[in-house]
Amino acid sequence: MQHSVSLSLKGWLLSASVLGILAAPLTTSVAAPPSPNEEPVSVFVIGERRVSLPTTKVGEVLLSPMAEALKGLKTVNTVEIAGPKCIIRLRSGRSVHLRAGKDAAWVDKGPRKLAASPLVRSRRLFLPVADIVELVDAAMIEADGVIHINAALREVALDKTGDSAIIHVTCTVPVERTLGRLSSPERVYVDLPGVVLVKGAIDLAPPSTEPAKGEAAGEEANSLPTVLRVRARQLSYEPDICRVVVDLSRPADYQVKERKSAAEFDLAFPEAKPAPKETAANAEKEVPAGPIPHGALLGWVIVVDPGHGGKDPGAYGTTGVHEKEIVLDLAQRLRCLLETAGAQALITRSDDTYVGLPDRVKFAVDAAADLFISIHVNAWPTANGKKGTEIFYYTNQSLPLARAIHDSMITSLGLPDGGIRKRRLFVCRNAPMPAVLTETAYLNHVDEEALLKDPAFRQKAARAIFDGIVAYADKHKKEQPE
Amino acid sequence: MKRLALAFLTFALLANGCGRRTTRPSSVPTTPPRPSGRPQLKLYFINTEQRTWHPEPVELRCRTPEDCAKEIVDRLQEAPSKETTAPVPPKARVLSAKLQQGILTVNLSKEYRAPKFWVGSEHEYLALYGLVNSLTELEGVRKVKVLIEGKVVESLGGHEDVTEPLERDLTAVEPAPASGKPGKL
Repeated sequence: MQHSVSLSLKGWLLSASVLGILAAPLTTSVAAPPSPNEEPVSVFVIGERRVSLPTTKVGEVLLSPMAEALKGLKTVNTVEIAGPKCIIRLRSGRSVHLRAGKDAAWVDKGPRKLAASPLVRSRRLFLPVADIVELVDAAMIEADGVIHINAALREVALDKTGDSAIIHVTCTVPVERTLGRLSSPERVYVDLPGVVLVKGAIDLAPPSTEPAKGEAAGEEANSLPTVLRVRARQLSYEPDICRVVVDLSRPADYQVKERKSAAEFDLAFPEAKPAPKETAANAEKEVPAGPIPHGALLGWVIVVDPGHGGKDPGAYGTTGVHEKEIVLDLAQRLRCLLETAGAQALITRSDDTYVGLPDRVKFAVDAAADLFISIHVNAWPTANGKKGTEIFYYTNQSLPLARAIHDSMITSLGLPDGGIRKRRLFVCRNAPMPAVLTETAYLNHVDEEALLKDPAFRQKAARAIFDGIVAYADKHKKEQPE
Repeated sequence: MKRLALAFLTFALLANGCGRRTTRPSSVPTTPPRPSGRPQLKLYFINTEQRTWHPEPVELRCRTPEDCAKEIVDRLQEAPSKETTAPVPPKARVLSAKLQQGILTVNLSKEYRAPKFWVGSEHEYLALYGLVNSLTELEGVRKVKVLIEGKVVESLGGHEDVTEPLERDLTAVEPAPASGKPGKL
C-alpha cells in the first residue's frame, strides 16, 4: 500500500511540475466536483487572525483555500503549498500531505480518508475544512456567521477520590493558562486563550454529592464537598478564550499540575476533613503555610528554571535519585503557586529534556520576564560533606531578590544557612532581569536527601521560595502603565 | 639550572636531528622569571570549609605557556593542605595547549569530565575557575578555553557554560593575609 501510494505520489509530482498550472483541469477531471459559478466568501478566525476566504461545497462538505491561513494556529509549524499539493507540518512532529483530486490525506505513514477531495480552483487549493481542522489538532465552531478555528478543549473531567477533587483538563495543544478567583459565591477559574469549546457548555457535578438543602453556612458548610460543580464555556470569541469555572463551597487552596505537557493539566482541591485536631505527625506532614495571597503577583512574568534535564542528570543522591527529577517537581510546584497568585509563570522545561544554559536565558528574554528563578539542589563531591540552603546571584540588581528568597527559605526550612553567594554561574550572569539560583539542600547528604525525596518537603521548599518572591514583589511593585 | 638548560638543548638538538622542526617558540613568554629563571605564580585550590580559593604560591619548572598548562593541571591535583581540595579531578591531563591572542586553549583528557566531580553550583564554580585563575596567572594569558579530547563541551556540571573562553574571576578568593594580595604576578 505504502509503495503504491508513494509511487503514485512521485508520478503525480512529475506531472504537476510538467503541467504546472494545467493541474486544475486535470484535477477536475479526477475529482469531478460540481463547478458552481459563484464562490461564496466565508469569514474565518484562525488562531488570532481573521480572514475572508472563498468557499465551495462538494455535497455537504465545505471546502476552502485555507492552507496558508493555518499558519496562524499554534499547532501548525509550516505550510508548504505547491500548486495542487500541500504539506502541513505540525508542531507535534506530524505532517499532513494533501493533494488535489485525492480523497485521502497522507498523515505520517498512513492514509486518512477525507470527506471530499481537495480541488484546485482559480489556481487555489481548496481543502475540506472539517477534515483539515481535525488533522491539525484543532477544533471549529461557528458563531455569528464566523467560523472560529483554534485549539480545542478536548475534555474536562471531575475525579473525586477520598480526600481530594481533581479536575482534569485536556486541550489539543499546550496552552497558556490564566488562573483567577472570584467570590460570592466562591469560584476558581482557568482561562484558556486560543482555545474553543466545541461541544457547547460543560457542566459537571460530583456524582455522589447531593448539596444539603437550603443555604449551607458556618459549620454546615464543612459537610459539603469543596468542589460543587465544574463548568466550561466559551468566554469570548476573537480573542477566542475558553473558561473553566470551579464552583466551591468555601475558599479553598488548590494545586495545578501538568500531566504530559501544558496541553493537559489537573486542578486538585483538597476536600475538607472532619477537622480532627492536628497530631504532631500531621503537623509534620502538612505544609504550615498560610493561604496563598491571590493577586499578589498579578502582572508579573516569572520564569522558573528547573536545572539540568535529559542527558544532564545533575547531582546524584546516595540512593540513586537524580537532581534533574527533584528540581523538576519542585519547580512545577513553584510554578503552580506563582500562577495561583496571579503571575504569568513560565517554565524552561516541563519534562525530562535537556535545555542548554544559553537557551534558558533566551527563553526568559523572549518572554520579557521580570524575574528568573533557577531551581537546583546541591551536592559536594564527598558524600555527606556539606549541608544546608544556599542562594546564588551575580548581578547587583539580583541581590534584593536573593535576600528575600534566602530569608524566607532559611526561616521556613530551618536547614543550615549557606548564605547568599555572588558566583559566576551562567544563568545568574547572563539573565538581564533579577535572577537567582536556589540550592535548597544537599542531595548527597543522607539527611537532606531524605527530605528532598519527600513531596511534603518539596512543597514546603516551593512555598518558601514563593513567599520570598512575594515579599520581593511587595517591595518592588510593578509600575502600572498609564 | 645548568642541568636543565643542558637537557633542553640536548632535546632541541635531538628533535632537529630527527628531521622535525621544533615547535618551541624562541622566546619564553611566561611570567617574569625570578633569579632562578623559573616562573612563580599562584595556584587556586579550593578551601573546602570556607568555600573560597586558597591561592598557593608555587615555582614552576616549565618554560612555555603550553608546558606550564600541563604542569599547572598536574599540580592542581595535589591539594597543599588538609583544608584544601583539588580543583582538578584525579588523572586529568593536558593533551595539548595553545596560546593564541591571549586565549590559552587547553585540551584536557576525558578524566577532567568525571561526572562525580562536577556536582553542585559552588563546587563547579570553584573547580572550573580555580583552573582558569591558575592558568591566567601565566603572562599573556587573558582567557582560557576548555576542550575535552579535542571537542567543545557545553558545560561540565550544568551550571556554567564552557563553549566560550573563560576569563579570570577572583570573587571567591579567601581573605588574603596581611602581606599577600591576589592578582597577577
